[in-house]
Amino acid sequence: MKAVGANIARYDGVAHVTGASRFIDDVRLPGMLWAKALRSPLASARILRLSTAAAEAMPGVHAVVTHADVPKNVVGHQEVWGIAADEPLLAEDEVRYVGQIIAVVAAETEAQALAAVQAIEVAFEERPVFLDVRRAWASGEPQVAPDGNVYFYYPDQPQRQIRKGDVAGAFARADVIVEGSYRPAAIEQAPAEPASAISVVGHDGRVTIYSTSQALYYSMEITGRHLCLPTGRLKFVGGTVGGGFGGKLDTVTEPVTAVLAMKARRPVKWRWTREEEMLCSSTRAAWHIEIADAVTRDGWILGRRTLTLHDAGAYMRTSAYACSKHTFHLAGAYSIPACAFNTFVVKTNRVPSAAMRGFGVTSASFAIETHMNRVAEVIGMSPWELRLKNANRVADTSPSRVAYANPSTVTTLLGAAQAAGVELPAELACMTNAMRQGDLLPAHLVGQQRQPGPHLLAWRDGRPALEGGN
Amino acid sequence: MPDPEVVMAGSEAEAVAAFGDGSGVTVIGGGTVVTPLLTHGALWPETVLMLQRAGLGGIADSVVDGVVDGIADGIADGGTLEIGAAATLAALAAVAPEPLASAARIPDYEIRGQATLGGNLMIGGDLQTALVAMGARVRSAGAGGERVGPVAEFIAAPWGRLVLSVEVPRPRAGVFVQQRRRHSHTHPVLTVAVARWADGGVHVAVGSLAPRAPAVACPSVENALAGGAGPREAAAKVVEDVSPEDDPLASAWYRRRALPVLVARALEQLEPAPKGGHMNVPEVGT
Amino acid sequence: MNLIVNGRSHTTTAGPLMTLLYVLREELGLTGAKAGCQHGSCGACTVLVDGEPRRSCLALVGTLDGASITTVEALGEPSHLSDVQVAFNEHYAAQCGFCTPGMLLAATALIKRKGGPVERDEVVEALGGHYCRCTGYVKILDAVVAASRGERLGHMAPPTLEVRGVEP
Repeated sequence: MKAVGANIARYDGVAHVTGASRFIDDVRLPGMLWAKALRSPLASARILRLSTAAAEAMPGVHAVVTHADVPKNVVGHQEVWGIAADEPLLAEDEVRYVGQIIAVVAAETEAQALAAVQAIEVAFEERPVFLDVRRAWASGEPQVAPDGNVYFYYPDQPQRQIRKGDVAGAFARADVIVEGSYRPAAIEQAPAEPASAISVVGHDGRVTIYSTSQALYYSMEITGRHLCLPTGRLKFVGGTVGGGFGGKLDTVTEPVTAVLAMKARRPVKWRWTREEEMLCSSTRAAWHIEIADAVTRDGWILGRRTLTLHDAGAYMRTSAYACSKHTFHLAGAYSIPACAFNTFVVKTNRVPSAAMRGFGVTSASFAIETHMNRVAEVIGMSPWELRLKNANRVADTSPSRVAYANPSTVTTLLGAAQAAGVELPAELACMTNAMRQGDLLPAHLVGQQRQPGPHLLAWRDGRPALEGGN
Repeated sequence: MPDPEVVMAGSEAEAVAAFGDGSGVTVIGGGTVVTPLLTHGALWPETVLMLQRAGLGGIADSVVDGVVDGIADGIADGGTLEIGAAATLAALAAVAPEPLASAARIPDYEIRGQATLGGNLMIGGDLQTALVAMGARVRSAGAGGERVGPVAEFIAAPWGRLVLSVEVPRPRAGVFVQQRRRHSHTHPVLTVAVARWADGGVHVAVGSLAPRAPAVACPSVENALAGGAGPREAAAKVVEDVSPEDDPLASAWYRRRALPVLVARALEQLEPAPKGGHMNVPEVGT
Repeated sequence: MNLIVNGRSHTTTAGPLMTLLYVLREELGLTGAKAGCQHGSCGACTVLVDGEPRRSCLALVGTLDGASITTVEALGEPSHLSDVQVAFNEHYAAQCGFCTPGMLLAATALIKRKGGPVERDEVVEALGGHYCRCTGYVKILDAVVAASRGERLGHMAPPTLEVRGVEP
C-alpha cells in the first residue's frame, strides 16, 4: 500500500488549476441550441389547456416538446424493486409541485428560448394543496396521487417496519419513558455546477448524451426506457462532475434534451439555472421522526418505538428505498433488544425528494443521537456513559437480527472523547467491544446475543465450507 | 420581444433627459441587481439607461489628497460629503465616514467593486440604515424635476426617481453593527447604525426588519439618550419604534429580542473618533 | 466593443447588455470561467477586469470597452504553473474543480494587492463571496496562504491513474 499517507497528485489536479477540466457546460457542438423550460407556478392543479403553437413560431425556436413528444413519458426509477412508475417526465394533465416541468423549448439563444417559454399558453384549474405529513391520515385532506397520500409497501401494510423482541414488556418494565420528536428539514445538495445535458443525434440515429449524471449507466437505462430505445442505441458521455452529492441522479435533462434533439434535428443543451437547482431539483427529504424509549434509571434502553413520516414530495422516486435504509438504522450504534419501528412514505405537493449523502440515514442519526442526549438528561446520566453502556458489542444483534462481528462503537466513542478533550472515568475509558458479560449483560440483553454469522469460507473435502458462527 | 434601446449617458444632464419620468426605463448603475434579471428573462426593458459614463461617481481608485474620483471629500471634522450615485461601495468602504463605511462592507470584495450607492438606495439595500442615522439627503431627478430631500423620505417611495447624488454629513463618530449568519456576505438579519454629532446629539437607525421595509430612525432611543439614559436603558426602547416581521432569515420574535442587544452594543462602542481617522468597527456576527 | 482578453485584442459582436461571461465562454471559447449561478452569488465566474476580481456574469459588455480581462487560462500552463496554481494542487484545494478558476483569480489578485504574505482572515475576507461545495474551504485557505509565502511542498508522487486521451 504505497499510496496511503503519500502525497499523490490528483490525476485531474493540473487540469483543475488551469481551468482545463471539462464540464458538460464546456462542451460545444456545432449548431447547438439552448433549452429553457416552462415550469408549474402552482403546487397542485389540473392542466386544462396547453398550447405551444405561439412559442414554436417565435424567432430562433426550433422545437418545443411536451409529454406528447416523449415515447414513454412515465417510467419508474425503481420498478425492479416493485415500486410502480408514477412520475411523468413532462407533465400530462396535472401538476403536483411548484416547478414541475410542463414544456421545454429549444432555440438558437437563451434569450430566444426564454421569450418563447413566456409565449406558451397554459390554463390551470388550481386544486387544494397537501403539505403537512402529520396530517397524512386526517380526513378531508387533498390527495396528492390517485392511490392516496401514503405509500403501501405491501398490499395490506403501508409502513416499512421492524419488530423485534417484547416491546410491550419493555415499556411496562421501564422506569421512565422518554419521548421526543425531530423534524430535520429538506436540504438542497446545491452543487457548484448546475445539472446540464447535451443531446445530439448521430448520422446513424444513435443518440449521444453528454450528462452531469453521477451514474451514467443508471441514467442511460432510464433514458433508454423514456425513448423506447435499447441502450445500445445510446452513448452517454460524462465529464468532470461539478459536485453531485446525490442530486445528479435524477434523470431529467438527458431524456428531455434527447427528445428535443430528435425533434429539432440539432444538438440541444439544457443547463439548469441556480434557481432551478434550488427550487425545483430534488432535495434530501424533510422528515418527521417520533421516538419513545423505555429506559431504566441506571441507563439501559430496554426498548424503542419510532414513528417516521418521510416527506417524499409529489412522486415516489427513490423514497421507498430511503425509508427502508432509514428504518434499519433507527437503533443506531446501540444495542436495543426490543424494537418497534414504523416508517411511512408520505406524498406531498412538494418537489420530489431523492438522494443526498447518507440517503435515509442522516435523518435517523440526527434523531436518535439527539434523543440519546435527551434520555441522558432525563435520567441524569452522562451522555458518554449512556452511549458506552448501550454501545453495540460483539454478538449483540441489530434490529434486523444481524449479529455484530466487530462493532466499532466503543472505540469510536473513546476516540471522540479524546479528540474533544473529554476525560472519561476509568471504568468507561477501559471499555472494549468484547462480548457482553457481568455488569454489561443485564437480564434484558441475555438471549438476544447471537454469534456473528459465518465469516470464514474455506475449502474442505472438495467443497466450500463455512466456519465460525451460525 | 425587441431588443431594448440602450442609452449610455455621457453626462448627468444626458442621464436626466433619458430618464424622463422613469416610465419604461431600467437604470443600470453597477449592474449587480439588474444584470441577473436580464440574464434569467425576469426583466424585458424597453429602454436601458446605463450610468457608468455619466460622471456620477464612477469607480474610485484611491484617495489622493482627500479627493476621490467623483467624491469631494468634506472637511475632516464635520462637514459634508457629496457622493455621486454611481460611486461604488468599495469607494465608500475606503473613504466614507462611519457608520457608512462599515455598511458598505456588507457585500463581498468583488460585488463591492461594482455595486453603487444609487443602486443600493433603489433596492432598499443595507446602506440606508447608515444613511438614515447620518441624516443624509438624496438629490434625484424624475417627474416634477430635480428634488432634494431626506433619505428617510426617499426610501419610503423611491420609484420613478433617478438618484443623482447623496449628501452625507460627517458625524463626530459612528458605529455600524449587524447581525448576520456566520457565512460571510449574506443578507443581514438586522442592521443598526448610530452617529454622534459634534453637539453631542446621537441618532439611531435600524434596518432589515422586514422584507422590503425601509430602515427607520429610532426617536424613542434618541430621546432616552438625550434625557440622560445609559446605552442599555435607551436601547431597550427600540422596540417602540419598530414593527419587525417574519422572513426566511429570521422571525419577528427573534428580531424584537435581538434588536435592543445590538442597539446597546452599538451605543456602547460609540466613542469620539480619534482626530483625522475613521473608527475601526468590529463586525458583530451571529 | 473592444476587449483585451489575456493580452489579445477581441472585438465582440455581443450587444451591450450581454455579459462578459457570455463573451468569454461563447465567443472566445475560454470556458475556465463558469456559469454557477449567474446571479453574482457564487464567484465561479470571477475573472480579473483591469486587475480587479469581478463577477463576469454581472459585467456588461457595454461597460467594458477597452477593458483588460484576465482569465484562469492566462495564469499558467501545465509546464509552468503560477505559485497559486501549484499551491492549490499541492494542498488538494480543488476537488470537483468547478469553483477553482474563480478562487485562483481572486487569490492571485489578493496576493498582488497585499504585495506579500497574507493572513488567513484576509483570505476569508477577499474570497468570502466564493462558494465551494466540496472542500469545506480549509484547504483553499491553506493553499492561498502558502502561495503568498512562496511555499512549495516540492515533490508530489505522480497520479496513480493515467488518463489516456480525452474524447470530445
